Amino acid sequence: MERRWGYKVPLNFLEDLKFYLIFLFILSILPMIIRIPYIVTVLAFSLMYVILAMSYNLILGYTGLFSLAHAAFFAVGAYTSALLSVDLKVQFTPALLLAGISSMVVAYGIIKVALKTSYHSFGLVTLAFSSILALVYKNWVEITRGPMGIPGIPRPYLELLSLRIEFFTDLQCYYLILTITALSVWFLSKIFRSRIGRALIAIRENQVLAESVGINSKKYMTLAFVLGAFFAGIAGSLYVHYVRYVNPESFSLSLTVTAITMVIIGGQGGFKGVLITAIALYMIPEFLRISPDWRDVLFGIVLLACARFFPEGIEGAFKLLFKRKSEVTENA
Amino acid sequence: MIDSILLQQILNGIFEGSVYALMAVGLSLIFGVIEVVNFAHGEFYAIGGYITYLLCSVFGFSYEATVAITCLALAVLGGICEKIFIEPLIERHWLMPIVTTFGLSIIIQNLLRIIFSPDVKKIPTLYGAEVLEFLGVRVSYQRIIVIFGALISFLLLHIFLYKTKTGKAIRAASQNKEACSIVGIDLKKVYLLAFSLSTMFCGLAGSIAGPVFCVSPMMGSALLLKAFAVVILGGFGNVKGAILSAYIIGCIESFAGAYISYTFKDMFGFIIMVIVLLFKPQGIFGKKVGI
Repeated sequence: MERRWGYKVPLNFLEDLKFYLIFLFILSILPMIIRIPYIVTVLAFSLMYVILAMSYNLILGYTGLFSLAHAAFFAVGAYTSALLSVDLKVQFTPALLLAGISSMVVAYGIIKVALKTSYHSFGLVTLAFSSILALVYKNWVEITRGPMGIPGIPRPYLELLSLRIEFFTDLQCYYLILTITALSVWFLSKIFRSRIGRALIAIRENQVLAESVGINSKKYMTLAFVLGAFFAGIAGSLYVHYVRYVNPESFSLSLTVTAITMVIIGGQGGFKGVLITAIALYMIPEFLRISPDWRDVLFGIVLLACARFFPEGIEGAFKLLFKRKSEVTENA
Repeated sequence: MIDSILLQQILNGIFEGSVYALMAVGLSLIFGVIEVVNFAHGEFYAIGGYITYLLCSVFGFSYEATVAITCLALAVLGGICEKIFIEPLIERHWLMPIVTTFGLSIIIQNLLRIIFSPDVKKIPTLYGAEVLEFLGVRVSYQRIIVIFGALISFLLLHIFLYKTKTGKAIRAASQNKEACSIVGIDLKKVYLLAFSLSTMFCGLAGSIAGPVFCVSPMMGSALLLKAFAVVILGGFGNVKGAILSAYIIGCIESFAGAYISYTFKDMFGFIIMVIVLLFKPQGIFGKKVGI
């Protein structure tokens, strides 16, 4: 039989919940234990990568759409948020939501065109669109300020009735990002486990068969793509509010590469693998102080190895190792 | 009296079209035969450019020898890459070969940046900056080499695909794989041949167009996107359609750059691609099956 690519659906809700809560707990106490400002920034960035990887998991991991526009959605969210809060003085919450929504609108336009092609050329069309967007950022100087970028994006604050909560320091901002990440991951894992998630897996494994049992594949693909773009936009908005500066160079292809690597290694089934991989893949090169060039080479090699030997990602790889060991012991 | 600006744009368009066509032919060939989208195609072109740079500027080979050696080297390299990375994955889920070529493209691009530094390198050629002038049109000799080199190579490819037995096997494989196996065509050999043929075109493009554009690690990825647009326009896996639409896109871009906006010149190719996808998703020449 032809070997398929990943087929795990996490069904054990309690196990997932336990994992999720432990993870959240560790991430919330880590900056209090290790009191180095650098750690907070690294953690904040890795959380943004978690949102990026989880939303990309919906597109590549679940639906099997090889989209190369994920960095572009991140950029759309980042620019929308930056322009709204700098030029129009919009508050954080509406800016965040509008960033997500504008990414969704762009994604809807892209997928309308991209679904006209075969799945092979899907990647090309999305790549073409993301390069069009990059041209716009660079050359539409009146609005985006071109290659100079937009400085001075304010740190977020919330106004609830008369109460004003400020997130001006890195640490406060980190907790805000953690909250939003936790909510996004919870929402995405709900989708993964729902009827929609199962329909998406069916489409990935065999589109014709899925359609024959009544799954409207175009509708579900559009849904997954647009939802993924929404969360990428949210991640972009968090990014600009944390870094307080944005320029076209922030969203190169290497961002998409990172997202792809995270999803492929994380295994396309459950969200645990992707969650751990996202944090590990951001932190390991960061702490080893590898230059971005070498990091991308490393990611490329990992991608090749995964495609060749572990099509189910690390979870699959561990299972394979474990199985071999048990087989050996049985034989002995 | 012909307007010399118009003529100049047509000539520029044909030149750019030749470069796009050299890239698109290989992409289309690989897609037609192996059904793999080769994201590393632009990087093979960059390798071709760098080999040319090394041989010409550093080791001082003659230009003719350089072109020949580059083509040969790229054909061998492509064959090795196909054997190691693509062949074991062809039977798997279709995503795995794409992920592999994408990973390959990232590795090669960053290694080139590490080895040769991100600086732009210039290749001095036999003709330097010499320019031919006629009817008020100026064109450098290197560009003439590109235009005619592309035409001659397409002619040779046509002869190879239609007159030789091996070429016929490649065309057969692009039409029906099961039938090929039945009549005893070794599909693995055909895949290998198609891949190294397509990377050979990259080598040719790198060595003749490299001196015009200069050599840098990113030279491939920008051109690759255009080549993709061309391939989509021409209909996936349709080699002749790809060549024709390469010239069409080259001319349209050159006119748009001259008369509309030079900044957004690169966008027009993509806009055409989007329009074609919306109204004729199989491409302009996409009807015919096979190459």
